[in-house]
Amino acid sequence: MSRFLWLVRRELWEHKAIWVAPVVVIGCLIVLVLTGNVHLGPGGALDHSAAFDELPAQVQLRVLMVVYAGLALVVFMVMGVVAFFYSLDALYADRRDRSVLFWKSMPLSDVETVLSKYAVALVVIPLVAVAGAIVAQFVVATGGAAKLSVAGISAGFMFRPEAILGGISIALLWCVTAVLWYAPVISYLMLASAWAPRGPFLWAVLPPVALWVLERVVVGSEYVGDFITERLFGLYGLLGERRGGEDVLEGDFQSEMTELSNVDPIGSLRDFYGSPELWLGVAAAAALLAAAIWVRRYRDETS
Amino acid sequence: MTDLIVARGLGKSFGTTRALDGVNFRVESGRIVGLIGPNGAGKTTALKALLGLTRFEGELSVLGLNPYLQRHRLMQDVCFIADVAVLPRWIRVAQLIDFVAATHPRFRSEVCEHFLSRSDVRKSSRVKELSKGMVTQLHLALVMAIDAKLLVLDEPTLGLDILMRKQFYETLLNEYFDEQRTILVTTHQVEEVEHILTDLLFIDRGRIVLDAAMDEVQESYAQVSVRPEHVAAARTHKPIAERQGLGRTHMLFRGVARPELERLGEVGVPSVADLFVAVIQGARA
Repeated sequence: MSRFLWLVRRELWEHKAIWVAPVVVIGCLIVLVLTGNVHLGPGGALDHSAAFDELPAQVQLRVLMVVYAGLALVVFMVMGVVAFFYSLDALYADRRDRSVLFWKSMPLSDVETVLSKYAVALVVIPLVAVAGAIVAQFVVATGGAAKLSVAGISAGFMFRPEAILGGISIALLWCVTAVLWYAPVISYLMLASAWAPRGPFLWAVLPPVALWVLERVVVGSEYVGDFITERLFGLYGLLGERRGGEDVLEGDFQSEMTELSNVDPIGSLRDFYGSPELWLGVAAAAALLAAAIWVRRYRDETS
Repeated sequence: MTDLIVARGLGKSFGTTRALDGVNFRVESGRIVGLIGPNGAGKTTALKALLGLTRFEGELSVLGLNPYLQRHRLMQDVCFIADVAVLPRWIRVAQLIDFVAATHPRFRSEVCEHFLSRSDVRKSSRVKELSKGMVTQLHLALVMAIDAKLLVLDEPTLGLDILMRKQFYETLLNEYFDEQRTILVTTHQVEEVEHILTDLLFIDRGRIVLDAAMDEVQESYAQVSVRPEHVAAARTHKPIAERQGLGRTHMLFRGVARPELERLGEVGVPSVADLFVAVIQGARA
């Protein structure tokens, strides 16, 4: 195993939340399924199995994909929180417990060290998230299949390869997009983690909030605030956009399902991939990461 | 013998305080050097400069490298234990050994495990479950399993009981040290290291006030228990230190001929602690 992989492995030893969090989410999901508390579709719409069975096959399939994608989103949000706190802690924890000089007594460069931590936040955690999303899909598919077979519908429906593979592809695409979207945020958090004398959370959060308030009070505009909220939450605006409605079906349940099937999980992600915003974000991520490495390298640890 | 460390005009300021004020010294390979000084003398700053952990003025070469700019290359051949370099508390002993084995090209796990087998440290324990003495044993076992050219110890036995401290230095001297290796140690407990040191470097207020090999020190410095009737005569030889004790006056002389001193009283080798006090007071006067 290469040195770099050992550095990554060390992070997984230290930061157990990376694998404990998805296990807890899946565990909760399994408990919900076993206790019969999983209602498929919003408001348990899919539980009306008989009515659902009457929907056109295309609509059924799309609804199922939206359900699976939504499940992935839950896992991703949990892992997003994990990545946030991991990044804040990554270059601070060993300074807090004063083991940093031990790590610095090993023949490892600070570039390797910081990059290994960055790789955990930007590659390992997302991969764990995708794996967790896939497992969650299978848990719900199994639970749903059991429910459907009680209602007399073929249990195989939940495992339709189009739906499962569709759900997995959407999860992967979201994941890659989230990585590109949040890369500058992760770099910024790592810089705060490397630099903060103590309490990296406050050091990370206060400067942008202070700028936001200052701009609002002094200039009266909200560019900073807009910029921050866009970078933090703008991604969700791109997801789940609705396609043009084709409301051909009658009845509340029918139209609700149709509407759900019209949700396009990929939404306007295409716009993001074509935008300069993406590349500016990647460039900012690289610059902030370089700053984090520099601070880690040249910070005087003991004074 | 080659110069392992060469410092010329080494300086470092914190604000208006000169922590290191143009320090010059050399350390040859195969020596055990004691860097000794009062609190705030610049010891730790000097070690940090040597280990590439702080920026410095002047010239400093360790194993031919600039420690500040080439730190991670230097760390292949240099090990250090400092009271400030604690082991991570969350890690298991076995994980720590595996990690060092995988990342340090000169580390030999079997040597480390040999040292650990004589201690109470269990490989399945986490560092936070170990006592302070066990953590030091673990750290020493790790460091001694690295085939390094220079080992830097900064107050390595701080907080250990006297048995542990004795064992620490015995293991270091008997099982680690050889002509290929060099040890640089700082400590407040001078009595414990004086028998293992080959060289002394006294530092005070950012300056080196004594730089000598141990045998030179024993040749040129002498401690004399002067009989009361010879005190006045003894003072004409300008003792560098003088103290009263048990009806005798103890004086420390430098560069006074041996027969001369023997007429004044019993001549002995001064302890490093006595020498230290005398030299520091002399330098400050």
